[in-house]
Amino acid sequence: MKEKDLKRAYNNVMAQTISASHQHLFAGNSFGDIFVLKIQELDKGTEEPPGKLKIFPQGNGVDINCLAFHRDFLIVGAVGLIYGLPWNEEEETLAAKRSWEVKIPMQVDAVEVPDVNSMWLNADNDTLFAGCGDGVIYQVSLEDGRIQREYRGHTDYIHSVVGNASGQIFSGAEDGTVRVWSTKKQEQTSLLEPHKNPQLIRPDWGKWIGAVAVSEDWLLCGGGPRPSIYHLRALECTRVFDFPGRVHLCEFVDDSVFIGGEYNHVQSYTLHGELQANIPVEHTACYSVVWQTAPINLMSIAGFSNKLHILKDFRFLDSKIELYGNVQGEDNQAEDEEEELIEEPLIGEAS
Amino acid sequence: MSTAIEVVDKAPAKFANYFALEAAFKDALEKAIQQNSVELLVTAYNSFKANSEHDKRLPMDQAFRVLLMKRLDEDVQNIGDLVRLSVKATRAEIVSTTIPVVLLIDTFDVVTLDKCQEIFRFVEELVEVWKEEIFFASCKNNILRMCNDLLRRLSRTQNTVFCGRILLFLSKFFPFSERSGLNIVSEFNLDNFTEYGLDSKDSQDDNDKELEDTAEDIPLKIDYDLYCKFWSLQDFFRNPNQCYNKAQWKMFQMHAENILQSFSSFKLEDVRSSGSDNASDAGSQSMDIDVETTDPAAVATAVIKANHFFAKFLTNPKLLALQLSDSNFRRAVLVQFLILFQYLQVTVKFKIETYTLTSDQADFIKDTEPRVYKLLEETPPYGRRFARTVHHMLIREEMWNNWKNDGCKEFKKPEEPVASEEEVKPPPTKKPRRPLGDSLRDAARNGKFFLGNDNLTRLWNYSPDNLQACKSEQRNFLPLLETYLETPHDKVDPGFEWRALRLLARQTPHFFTSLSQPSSKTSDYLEQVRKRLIRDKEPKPVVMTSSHSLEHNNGLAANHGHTESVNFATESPESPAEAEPDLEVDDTEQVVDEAFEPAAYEKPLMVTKEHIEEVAPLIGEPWMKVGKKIGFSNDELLYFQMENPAANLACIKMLTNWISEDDDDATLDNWAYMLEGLEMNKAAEAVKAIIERERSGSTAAVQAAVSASDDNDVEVLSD
Repeated sequence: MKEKDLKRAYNNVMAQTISASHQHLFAGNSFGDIFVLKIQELDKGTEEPPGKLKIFPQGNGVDINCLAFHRDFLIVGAVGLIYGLPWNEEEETLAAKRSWEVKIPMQVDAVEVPDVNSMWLNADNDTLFAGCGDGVIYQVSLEDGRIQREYRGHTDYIHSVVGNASGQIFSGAEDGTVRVWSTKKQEQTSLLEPHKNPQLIRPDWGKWIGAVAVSEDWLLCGGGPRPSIYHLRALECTRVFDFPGRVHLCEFVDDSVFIGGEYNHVQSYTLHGELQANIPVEHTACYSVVWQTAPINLMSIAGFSNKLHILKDFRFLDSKIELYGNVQGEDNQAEDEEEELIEEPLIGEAS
Repeated sequence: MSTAIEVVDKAPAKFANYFALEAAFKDALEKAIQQNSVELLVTAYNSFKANSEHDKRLPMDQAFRVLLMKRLDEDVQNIGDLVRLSVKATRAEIVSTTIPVVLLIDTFDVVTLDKCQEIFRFVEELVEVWKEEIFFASCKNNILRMCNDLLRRLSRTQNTVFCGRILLFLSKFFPFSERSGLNIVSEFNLDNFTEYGLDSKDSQDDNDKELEDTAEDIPLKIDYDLYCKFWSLQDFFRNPNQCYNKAQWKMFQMHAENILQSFSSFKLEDVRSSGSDNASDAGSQSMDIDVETTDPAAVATAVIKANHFFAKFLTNPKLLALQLSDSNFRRAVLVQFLILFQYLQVTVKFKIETYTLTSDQADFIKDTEPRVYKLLEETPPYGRRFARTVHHMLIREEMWNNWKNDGCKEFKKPEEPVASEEEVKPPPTKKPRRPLGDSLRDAARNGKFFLGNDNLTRLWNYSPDNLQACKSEQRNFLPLLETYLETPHDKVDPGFEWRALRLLARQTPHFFTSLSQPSSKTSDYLEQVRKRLIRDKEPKPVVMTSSHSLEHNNGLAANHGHTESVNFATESPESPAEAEPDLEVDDTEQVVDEAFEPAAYEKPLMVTKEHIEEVAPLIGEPWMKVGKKIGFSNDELLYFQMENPAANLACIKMLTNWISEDDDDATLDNWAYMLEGLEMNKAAEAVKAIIERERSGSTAAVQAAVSASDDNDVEVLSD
């Protein structure tokens, strides 16, 4: 019981992903638990509470740093390894046994096992790009689990990797650089150093880049330096966003820019830098956002708290979903107790 | 047809006559309506002298009603004409008083709602007529019935505008404090239930459930997402008394918090440009000034602009996102909050005693209400104006509420208290007031005006002729350009530059001559002008004195001759450099100039006590002018005058004061310039002579012409 309370208090959700069927949302935390939420439950439009979540523990030693979903696999990026778990859509169960594993090779001079901090999945050619704690991006073929290529250049651990269909890979790292790679070229194609731009630098918070996102024309990055967008071809900083905290997540959503991090609000800006929405969140820090537009509009923001924040139209906080304490199959008594605990802050004195 | 039946009913009494009358009246009516004059009808009516009034009225009524039935298919306007004619006929007492209303009732009974809406216009237009004594007494009930019949036919949700028109008409028609339409016991319209949820079945169940719940008094539903939270609030708005239930209040508080937070998290953008935003602010300001005139207009335009009004909320979950982004919707909900808060706070006669707010609740409302207002203000367009209007309406609502609490007293025009005040007031005001002409005459005679206040009186009598006093130089607060340019200022200070340019335009012709080096920066330009002015001042003795001698070609001419010769003598070594300022200034010359300037300006010659004693007699009586120029205030000058009755002594005292206080400005050059400005040429010359003397004295080693100038100075002084 006590452990449960501790977990609830220190739940750090680092990763989320949505299934290929767009019906389930997976959220993984640093305790190695994967929560599965049925998205339909959020769209009932009635006064009944959404159904409970399913939980699939991955064992104590597993930190879930990032998640991806491909075909019928949930891909988990943990410490020093990436593995796949088959997802059974009918029964809504995640297999306990890993169907494959890819180990991240230890560098010769490495002191600790590298984390898999960020993954970007290129579903078209079954390739996974994993940005790791050793400063290397590994290109993994999902056909055979082989590491096809290593992208070397970053001098510190990588926080964020994204790519686009034209074969460009963008990575942001602790060393303060954003590097652009091409799958067709050995060397990095270009290098950005936002911390050298006086408009962006926030000296108190360091030079690291916490998150990178790309759209068709724009590259968005932020971290210790202020979040800003760069034009993709010119690589010129065109707009600075006034997000008041350290940045751990940024995303292009429709025509706007979502930025979150160590701040009690997640903010949405227009591309012109105007603040559109200022959404209050309970997370101490936000680490992950996933969103989809079909079959229903849904965005889920996760971070250091026991709740997923659900936005249905990307502008208003719609609801908050409890994680621990809202899980199917917890024994009844515990459940009852917990139910009361949850409701207490809401209702206070019920009778 | 009802008319036919009536005819049959009434026929037996006076068979032939009735029809004859009716036929005759009908003809007359046809003509009357064509010419739109009631005279024809009256003459037709009066032509049947044999019949009694009562006998004649019925057929006349009948004629109107039959004609109406005939004309129903025609243009709506004709019906209006007929009704107006019937009003006139009623006034002429040839028909029964109810006939105009009966005509309208007949019409509304048989035409479609669309047409009703058009015809109702006549009802509205004639509202003043209905209120007249003869009509009001007899038609009151008929009109009320007519309106209620219409309202019954209309859908409250579809024909909102027409319903509103009818209600507005009723409120205009009945006296202000009429209670018949009033919700006296303050019941809520509990039927106005807002259903929500995916299918109506569900909500039906909820509805039932809720009824049970209220019976059990522990209804606890937790709503899980924004949608449910949002619409569950409507239930509180529908029945505010729920808020007095503790558990429900908690729920309300939580949801309200949530919704308001959502509203504040996503600010609506003002679609209009910022320019018109200013206009809106200006508009709102004007509203402050004149609530009555601009307010209805603004509301009207707002209504026209937002031409979509729903009497019921649409609760489809898919609409929620759109609704939350819709400023009208947002306003509607926010106003609901305000209304609820108001209800909870005010005392209402029919509220149960247990319905009182706990201090927590009161605190919550106190905190939340300003937030709601703030959100209203932030909701474009015209947010601030809207918020103020709502506030105004709510205050008015409170008034109505108090009126109701007091048992709906009749309103009286507050004439009596005003009248009584007037009765009380005049005596005290009349007694002390003398005719204005008398007091003016006295004042003119005594040379002193009494303005009823010591200070005002003192100010007014400060100078015998106030207009003249206004013209005095002392009222001229413009600083001299030279001194102004020298005052310390920021390097780039637009305010300073602007003022300097204004002074420049006023005081020197340099403003109109273009400089050789046009600079884009005003500060540079001013700096150049400053230098030029200094340069101009330098050779002033030469230029100015000669011009003076031309201007004032009077007894002083001899004097001028002397000084001129002095000047030429002393300045001959410098003349190559000094001659140029009158010519076009070139860059090279400027350099020479500047190189030269420091020598002359290194040590400004200060005024000393000896100088003052020397010059003061020359200033003489008008020493006060000099004082003003120097910058002494009136009080100070008066003080000097009082201390020293002799002008000479006062002048010396004042000038000594000046040099001891204002050590930077008190240079001989400034003084000479000042005296010249005041056209005290004698004194000016004297000062200039001192300058020459001092300067030559200080540069004695270099200058050869010292003794000559000294001699000349003596001459001048002895003059």
